[in-house]
Amino acid sequence: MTDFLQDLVDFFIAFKDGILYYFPGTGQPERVLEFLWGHLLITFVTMFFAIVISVPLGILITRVRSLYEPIIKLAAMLYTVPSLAMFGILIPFVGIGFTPTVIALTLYSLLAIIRNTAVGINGVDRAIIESARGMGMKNSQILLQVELPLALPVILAGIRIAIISTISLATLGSYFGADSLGNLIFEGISAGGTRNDKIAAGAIGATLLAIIFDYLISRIERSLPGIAQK
Amino acid sequence: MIHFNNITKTYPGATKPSVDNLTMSVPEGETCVVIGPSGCGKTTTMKMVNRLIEPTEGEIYVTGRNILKQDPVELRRNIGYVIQQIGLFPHFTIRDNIAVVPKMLGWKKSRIDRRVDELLEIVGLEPTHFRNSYPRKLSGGQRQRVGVARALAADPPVMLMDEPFGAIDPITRDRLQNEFLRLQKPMKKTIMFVTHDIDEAIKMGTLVCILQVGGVLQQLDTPSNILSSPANSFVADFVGSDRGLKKLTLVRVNEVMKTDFPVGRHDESTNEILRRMKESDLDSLFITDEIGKLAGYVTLEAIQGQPQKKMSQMLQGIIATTEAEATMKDAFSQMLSYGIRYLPVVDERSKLVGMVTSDDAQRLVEQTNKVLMST
Repeated sequence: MTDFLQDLVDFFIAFKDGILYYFPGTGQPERVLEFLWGHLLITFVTMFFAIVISVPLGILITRVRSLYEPIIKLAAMLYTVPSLAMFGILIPFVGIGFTPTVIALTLYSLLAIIRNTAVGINGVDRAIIESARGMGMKNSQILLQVELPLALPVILAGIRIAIISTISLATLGSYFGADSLGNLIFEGISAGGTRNDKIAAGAIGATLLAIIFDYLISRIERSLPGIAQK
Repeated sequence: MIHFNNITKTYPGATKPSVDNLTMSVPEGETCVVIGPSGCGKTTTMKMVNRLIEPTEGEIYVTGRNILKQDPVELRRNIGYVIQQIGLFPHFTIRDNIAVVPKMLGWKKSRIDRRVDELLEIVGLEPTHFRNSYPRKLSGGQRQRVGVARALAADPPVMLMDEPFGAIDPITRDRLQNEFLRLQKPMKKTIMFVTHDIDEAIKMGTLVCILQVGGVLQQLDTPSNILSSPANSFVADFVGSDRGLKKLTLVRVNEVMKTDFPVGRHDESTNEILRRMKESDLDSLFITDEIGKLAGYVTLEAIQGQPQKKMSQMLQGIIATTEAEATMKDAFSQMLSYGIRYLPVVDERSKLVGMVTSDDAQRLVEQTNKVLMST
């Protein structure tokens, strides 16, 4: 029991020190900033590729129904590969650092975005599509002006899931030579309990990032015209 | 205007065609209501006109052109399309919903804005109030008004309407039907209108096209002829055994009302009134005031042997009146529900202009039945 209380006290001390690590004096804000930048870079590059690959694939599988099953199954299979194994497969091909991290995280993001894009488009009321076609809209106009805007809330929900898992998994990239807030965590771990403030600082940073992005996307979702409850 | 030439549609995997060797024409300015039991291919027939469904065999001509040789996108922009589920774009304002086709046709913004306001006025929605709203804020009836406005946006000569008022409550539906009839009168669009409601078909159509399951044409004729001379027993059954009553929908009160009948005035003496009733062998008489406004009625029973009483003391109130433009069905239904045999017809200033009797209605129904029995 006293051990547990001691752990709890240590946790709060580490948490406090973790926050202090962000401020000049006791902490090293310039390092935090560097790793935060690395973390954001991994997240943005990953999301860029994930969206650029997944949204068109999601659209494709609503047009060519026979591709739906194989593509969703492949993305689901990639999603189940353990992260250490994923890096282990990638490193022999692309080396260590930023590149394998972005590739691995992109592969993990595919499923959520592809599936939500397809579900979102398939969920658009058939009557709306029919009236669009009946008025003489071309397929490209129907896709861009009707289907994608109406599927956007569902697609954004998929992106939200992907971005949060990317932010949390990006910490792991540090283990394989990429710079992210994970650097602080791994440094803290290798210090063998003497630098728990670093572990806390990394964890707090990654958590805050996830919360902020989640909030930002939910704001975008709510600002969509017509769909929003006004 | 719309011409089907030996059209057959067999869906992939189906053994029987949904529309079988259909040849029919809808002349310019006519509203052709296509009706039949479910599975008769009425929606399939309509959707082949804007190529949402492609026929298996045959040709369709719209304004003289073979549509199967036309670009479907081009074709559809010249055909107004209204569907039961309306299908407004929820993320577009009412203005942008109506502007879809004009925008694709490359109209200038100012022209689109003017057209949108004009259309909103036409369908009875206040432009300043509705222009920038989103569809979710509108009631079902208002949405379908926007649906009709959207279909009319680029003033297409041809309109396709797939059960447009089917999902709207009966009272609003009736109002929208009347408004659409009023709109269509000067517009003279060529319309193909699908419904499963025979009353709606008779009311909205200048032509009614009855299809049997499998898309076999049974009869294409005016509503009046469909009711009075069904081509076969299928049509007769489909129209219903109350087709005589339905025929009353087609007759306006002013076509049958009596205008020349004895009337009393409220300042006449009782003896004078009594004499007139006996002369014409009437048991009641409508009484008007000095400017011809309907004041009430008197019965023989009430005034007999009361020479000293004043007219105003014996006057009885009018229970129901009708208007010259109402249908005989409405008039007859009023007479039935109030249990009266004479219904006064008044104008908008409640002046007595005529009278219809339950005998008039019965005679109309009997005429229809006689024709039916002889065929």
